Amino acid sequence: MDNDPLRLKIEQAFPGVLLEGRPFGKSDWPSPLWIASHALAGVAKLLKQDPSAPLTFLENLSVVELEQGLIASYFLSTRDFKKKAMIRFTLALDPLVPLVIPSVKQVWPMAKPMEQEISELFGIQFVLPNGQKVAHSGGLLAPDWAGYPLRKAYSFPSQFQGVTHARNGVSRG
Amino acid sequence: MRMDWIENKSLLTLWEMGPYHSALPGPMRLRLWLDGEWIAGSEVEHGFLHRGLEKCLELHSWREALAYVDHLDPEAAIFGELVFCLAVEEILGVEVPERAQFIRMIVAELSRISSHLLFMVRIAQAVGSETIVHYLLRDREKILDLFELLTGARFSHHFLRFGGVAYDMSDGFIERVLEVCDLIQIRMKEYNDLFTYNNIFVKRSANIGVLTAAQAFAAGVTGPNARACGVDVDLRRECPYLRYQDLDFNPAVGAGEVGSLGDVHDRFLVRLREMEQSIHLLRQAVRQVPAGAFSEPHRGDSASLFDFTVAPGEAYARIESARGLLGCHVVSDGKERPCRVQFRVPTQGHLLVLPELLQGARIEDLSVILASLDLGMAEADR
Repeated sequence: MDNDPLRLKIEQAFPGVLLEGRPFGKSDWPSPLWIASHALAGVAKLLKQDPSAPLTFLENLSVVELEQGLIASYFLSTRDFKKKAMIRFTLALDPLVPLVIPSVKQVWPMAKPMEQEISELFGIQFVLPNGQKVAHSGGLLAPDWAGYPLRKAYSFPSQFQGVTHARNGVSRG
Repeated sequence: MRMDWIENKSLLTLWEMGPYHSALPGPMRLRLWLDGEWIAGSEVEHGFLHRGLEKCLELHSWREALAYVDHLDPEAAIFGELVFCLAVEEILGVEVPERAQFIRMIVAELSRISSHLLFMVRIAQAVGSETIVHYLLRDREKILDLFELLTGARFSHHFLRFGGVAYDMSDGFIERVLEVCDLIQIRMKEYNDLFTYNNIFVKRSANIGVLTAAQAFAAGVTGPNARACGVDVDLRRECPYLRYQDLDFNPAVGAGEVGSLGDVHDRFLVRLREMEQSIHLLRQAVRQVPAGAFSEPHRGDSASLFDFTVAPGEAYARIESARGLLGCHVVSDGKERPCRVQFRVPTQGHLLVLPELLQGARIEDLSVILASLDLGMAEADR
């Protein structure tokens, strides 16, 4: 695994950024590149500009909440889908620390709607390399919606804008 | 026209369309800044159809979730089921019987034709050809009849199961599929006469809404919209799933035959040719369906919806849906419900590129450009 040229390149460019992590399922996806979240933008640029097989296509951006915190997964591929890679990192859920990760929309423009969704549904703030927070507007949720629905601790509102909701069916378990 | 329109907003007319408008493909809001008859700039707002589908899947058992993933894209419901099943089966390590894989492939290709016929309906409405709409819907009914025969439902089939499909093909189903293939093949001439070589349609679609390959790359546009601008990539060939590797298949790619490469006409033509490809695939598939089980045993017969768990793990499956690359990331923590189900939908990229296509377009072309992208607002909003 350590002989993976992609890993060697990242290790060379950003020493200490690669972390040990679990492999990804049983699928044909290569072992994820677990990194420190602050290094995301740099690693993203490196992978996109890799001359041997530029990973120009951010296929998917997925976040899942597990016991250890939020895990973000960036599914990357070349445009012909011949080569794939995955960047992953963990964000600890600490109520005192804001969830902030670098935005990659300047590297992969298709990241914009993906980041917007995650921002709304998980409450993660994306920041540009100049430190500016990415502002999102007109997304999936109403502007005055409270909470982040895809967090495990999310509780459904009993009413919204004066309309009461009875949600008997979703309280199981 | 390609000036920095943001600086000149005050000189332009703001026109808001939606969220509900007959020219829109679904609930969405378009803010258009108009310079006379020209669109100087636009903003897209969507989310009006957000149903919390991914959250909903976390709140239901694995088997119940199968019924909900149908709703990802109601116009081509089987693709949501298929990508979810493929991801879950990967975690389970289930070997899906070959017969079931062929049945899935047949339903997927029928869905693709059905979805493309709906695309043609929308584009016919956009250019004002109401008569053609009835011809197209008449043919689509034949495919819905096949769905009803096989799955019991014309929409929202809830037909796939982890490890196979819910029912086997009934006697005569294959013959009916071949009849529909023959019928659509004959209709191709009609579609070509009414669309491809129709002077009015050519004038309304050629050189309009030109999407370049570079724009498509940047926005993550996939599927027929990407192929229409010359990107020869199709997941069924590049990363075959089900049994696509056993079938002869060449994706249709745009060539700018009538107008410019990547224009509305190319997007139409690619879908028309994809329908022919789907017929070709269907004819091969029905010939090769092997005998045997249609579902992996011991998984489909449990009485309780909750008596089914998936071992801890995760998987990411991806397929070529009628609109493009559809991905599904499933995470299981070993409990009776999914820990996370996340979809990567093609319409997200198509919406991202829409303002670029509209900039500099005429108002009269707005509805044609919108229809040509085949936007699925249900899957974009989830």
